Amino acid sequence: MIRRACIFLLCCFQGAAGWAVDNDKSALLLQAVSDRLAVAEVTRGKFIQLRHLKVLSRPLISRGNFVFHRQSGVRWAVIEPFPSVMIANASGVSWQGEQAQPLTAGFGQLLRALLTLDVEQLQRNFEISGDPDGDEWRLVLTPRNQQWKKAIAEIQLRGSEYVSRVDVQEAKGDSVRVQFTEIRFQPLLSAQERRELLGE
Amino acid sequence: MNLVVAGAKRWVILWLLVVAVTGLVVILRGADALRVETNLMALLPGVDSNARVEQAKRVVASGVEQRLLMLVAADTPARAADAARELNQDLERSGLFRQVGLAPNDQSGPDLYQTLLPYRYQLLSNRSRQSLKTDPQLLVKEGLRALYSPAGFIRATSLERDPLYLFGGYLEQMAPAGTSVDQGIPLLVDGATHYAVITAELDRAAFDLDQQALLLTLIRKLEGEQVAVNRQLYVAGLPLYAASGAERAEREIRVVGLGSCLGIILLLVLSFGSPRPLLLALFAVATGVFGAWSISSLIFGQLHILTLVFGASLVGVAVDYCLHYFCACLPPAENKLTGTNGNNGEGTLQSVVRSMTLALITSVAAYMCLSATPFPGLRQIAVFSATGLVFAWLTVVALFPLLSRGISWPSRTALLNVASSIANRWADWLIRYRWLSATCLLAIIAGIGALHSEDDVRQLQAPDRVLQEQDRHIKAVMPEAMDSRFFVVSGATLTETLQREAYLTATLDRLATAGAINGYQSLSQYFPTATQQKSDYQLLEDALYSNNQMRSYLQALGFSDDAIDQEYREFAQAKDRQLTLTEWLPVVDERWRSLWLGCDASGCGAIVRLAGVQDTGQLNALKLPGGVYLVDTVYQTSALMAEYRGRATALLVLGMIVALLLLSWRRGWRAALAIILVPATAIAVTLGVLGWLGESLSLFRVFALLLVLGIGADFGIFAVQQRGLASHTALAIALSAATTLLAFGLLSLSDTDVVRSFGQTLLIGIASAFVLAPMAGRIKNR
Repeated sequence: MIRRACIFLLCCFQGAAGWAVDNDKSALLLQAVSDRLAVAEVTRGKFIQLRHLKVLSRPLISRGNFVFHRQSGVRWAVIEPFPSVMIANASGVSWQGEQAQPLTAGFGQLLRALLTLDVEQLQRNFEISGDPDGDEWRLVLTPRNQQWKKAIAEIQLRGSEYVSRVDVQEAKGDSVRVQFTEIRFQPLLSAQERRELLGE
Repeated sequence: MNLVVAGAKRWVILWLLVVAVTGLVVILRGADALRVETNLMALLPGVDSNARVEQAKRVVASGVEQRLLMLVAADTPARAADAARELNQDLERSGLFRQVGLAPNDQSGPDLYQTLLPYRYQLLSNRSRQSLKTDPQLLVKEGLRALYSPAGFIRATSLERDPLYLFGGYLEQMAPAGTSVDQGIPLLVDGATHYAVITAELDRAAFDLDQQALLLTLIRKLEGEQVAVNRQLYVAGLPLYAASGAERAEREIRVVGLGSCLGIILLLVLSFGSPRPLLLALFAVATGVFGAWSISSLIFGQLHILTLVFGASLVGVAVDYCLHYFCACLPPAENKLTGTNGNNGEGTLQSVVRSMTLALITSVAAYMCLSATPFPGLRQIAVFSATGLVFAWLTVVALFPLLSRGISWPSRTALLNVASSIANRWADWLIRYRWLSATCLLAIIAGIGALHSEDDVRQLQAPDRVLQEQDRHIKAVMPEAMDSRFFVVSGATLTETLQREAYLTATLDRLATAGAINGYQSLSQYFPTATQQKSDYQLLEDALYSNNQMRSYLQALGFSDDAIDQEYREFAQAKDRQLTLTEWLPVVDERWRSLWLGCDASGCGAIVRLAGVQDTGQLNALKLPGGVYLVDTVYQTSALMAEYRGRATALLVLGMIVALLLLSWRRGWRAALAIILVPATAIAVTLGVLGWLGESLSLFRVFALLLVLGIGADFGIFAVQQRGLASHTALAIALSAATTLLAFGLLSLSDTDVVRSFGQTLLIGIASAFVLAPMAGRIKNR
């Protein structure tokens, strides 16, 4: 189980071999949506995460806020029900000031790629369909790699000038929904955030 | 008997026969005869130990002997992993390796999980056990927090079977600390630097000197490429040491072989003028090397590279016979000091042949003393040298009378004069100025007093500084990297073995806390004994299940009542389960599997490996219970070397006494004493000089002294035999000392400590024997 989850994360951005550039449609679609996104150095906001597990009668809900820095990574702070802080940057993912685990570097990169709609990264790993037009665009990402298909059925992204909702449908029926609200592109990183994200 | 003329025909036939038979042997063995062993440790004798310990040594050795460990450093984990992938491809393409990267045991993943799942209530990580004992409430809180965090997906996937991630914790504990895996590439982090780990196992089946050279070239090329793109590659592993040692040895063989050949050519041309003696000498030496190689490779299967290094110096000894023969052929020179006239008639040749034979016997006896030691390497060197000498001697005795016919010997050579005057003057000096002898004697005694002994086996390893530096770096980044020291635990039954192992583990925990070791790897760390399994289950029952902590946790998460009842039922059903080693071993990682030695009629055995030993003293001072053995090959072999140094010293004294008796019987006690005084004094001088130089006395130096005894006795025999100081004898001794010094002197330039100390000791010893030989003639004449 753990292995499965880790493989999913790692595979995401560790250069899955064997994808062919046969899918111009994916690229165009992705580019069209990505063009609508606001380009900002820093994105801040709140999130609410709902984790639906088949065994549980109600979802696990957590709330918090995030800071996303385009160049370095994400600071993800859960406030309710149990506070915790996660930093995902180039050297990996760390929790509560623990040393970064390179294991989970892929997780940070996935998050970053999803939030910025990194065309190259996403297209390499997913087949993409959806609707780029209208008030709210919608993209459906299906893994190309057989191994991830065992873990993930599909990922859905929605948004306008920023990604507002991510739905991950796991292969075994569990799912996670993350909704972003109160998005702001200011202020720039504080001294503490720079320290945490950039290691300065 | 008239060896020289009457039996000439018979001797030639004998020579042809011997060489033909040897040639046939070489042809029959084919390429096998050319194989060369390069592992320096093959020179060493095995330490006495029981079968279980031997088995453990084999298991541990097989894990390291063919394995290379590489770290590639980069600034991000992804870059390090990418670099490792490229390197893996380069290594695979080279065709030198049987396996590159992790063994494909990814399949063992689900197996491990599925096999251990039924026993999940019996398996706890150390950390969970501690938390359950002190504060189970905290464990529940941690569980909730983790589940709601972004990383919660890891726990969420196994929530229904492992709600508190206790089983997950046990499985995680089995992964080495600080490492993670990126698509089969293990990663490490040290400060801001990320390392990817590459392991490669050499293809033993076809591994010879050529491939060792290829390996070095490959590694150097890869290192260069990584540096060019600003990444650093660190490489460690026994094969690399072996390869660099072999490369060095090859270079040294070339230097020693070529150097001594050139020196001999120069000396012969200077002494005898015409090219024929030179060709004859080279022929005799070539026969010697041919015989030595074929016979010893037949006896030992394959020759060790160090044998060849020493063997190259054999050239200098084998040529001695030719020198004595040629010198006897020279026209006589008047000797003013003794008033005797040398003669070059049949008598002289015969007496030279007789001396030669006696010299051969003493040399071979000296070499046989070496071969009586249990050092496989030395036995080879001794057999190699002895057979080489026999072949060279045979060639001189059998063929030279025939082949040297009609050579026009120079009537007087400049060297002849110089040699005879130096020899005589020096002896006069020492005898005339007693205070000089007394001063020398005092200096020698002082020097010997300053001498200390050195038995560390690591002197065998050539200190390749670059490799050592990389080794150190790798050990610093991977403190869990396994040490060469380990424990072997044996017991009559499986249970007893595991109990003893658990007991040892508790002791090692104390050592680790005290900082004497960084850690260890043992079965009981991850495979709990039956008692432990029972108590872990009991702990879960008391701390979480019977007090309904678990129930309220599951309710808080939103589990249905059915699901909760199901969990409690499963817990109750697991009560009497017990995971056995036979179920556990097949599914766990190779690292743990290799720790179990199995059971047979004599009982069971297991290995406990040590990581990063910081304080050898504390480790060796441990009081070990029965059935537990510490294997410290370096320490134990060093102790063995000290013991053999003692034995070799005794052998040296014994050799002297035997030679004295043997010579007294053939030559009378006066001559015998005069002869033996040459090597005995030379040995004393050598020890004194070594003391003054601040060198230490190692086993290999004592071995060199055994050779000084043999060669020094040769000098004495010739000096005494030829009725004092016939000038051709002085020349022969001078030439033979020069060639021997050249050969062994070149050895003392070696980078390998053991070769250097061997050569240096011989250099001093032979030089002293040379200086002292004329004295023997004087003493005899008095």
